[in-house]
Amino acid sequence: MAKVAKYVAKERDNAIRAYRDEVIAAIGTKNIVDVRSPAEFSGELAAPAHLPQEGGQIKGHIPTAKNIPWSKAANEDGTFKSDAELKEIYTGAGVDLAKDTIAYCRIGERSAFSWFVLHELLGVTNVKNYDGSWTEYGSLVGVPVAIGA
Amino acid sequence: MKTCGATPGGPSLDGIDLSKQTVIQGVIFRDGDQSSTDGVPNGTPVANGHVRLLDATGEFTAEVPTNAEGQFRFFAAPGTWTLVVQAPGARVEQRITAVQGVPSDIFISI
Repeated sequence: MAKVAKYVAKERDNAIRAYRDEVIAAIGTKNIVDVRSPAEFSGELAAPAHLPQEGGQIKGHIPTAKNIPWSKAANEDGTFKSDAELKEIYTGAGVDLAKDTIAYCRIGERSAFSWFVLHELLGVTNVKNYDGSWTEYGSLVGVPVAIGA
Repeated sequence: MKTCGATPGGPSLDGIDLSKQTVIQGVIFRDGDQSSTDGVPNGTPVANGHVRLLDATGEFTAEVPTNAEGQFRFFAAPGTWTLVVQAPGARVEQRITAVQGVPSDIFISI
């Protein structure tokens, strides 16, 4: 007879999750990090290049976001870069890690990786993942969108 | 399936709207030779490879594994891109000029 296990989910932790209104309010005030590829950030591509380019979203990025692709955290062999190198990737791109940071991508998957780099590897506590990401933001009416590098 | 004007190599394009997509695709062979036959590559398909797509400035854009037939595909935008093929013991780079409407279908031998 199969064993029965009982799992109880914890309440969701909103300390690590950013929602739409918080992201809009963060424009120009908090760090917003767009971890997509430069071609997606600039508006050249609508989706990562392993997927068909057919999203309904407008192309571009959230104004004042810094483009720090998730892949920059990894060496060519797939290992993580050193803590010092990882920190320089963010601070060198103009991210003040003393301020709150929101990371986003297209569906929140790649930015979950970048959240891990910031929160777990670098120990930055005030980081949130915007899991609505560009799929939500790029579909909103009445929000500002920036294009270009 | 052969596609007019393109070297046979990448996955089937059935169901893909080429009027809207800028497809870069192909096939990776080890010890392959494209010239010995009617254009159909020979050699052994590289099923354990990865292909990276870099943009015109050399920045990482995407990466896909090759399938069992050694094939890969990207949906890019018109312009210049670089493919980086990585497989055990091999690394090959190839520049591509992609256009919308006509798939870039390439054969890479490692």
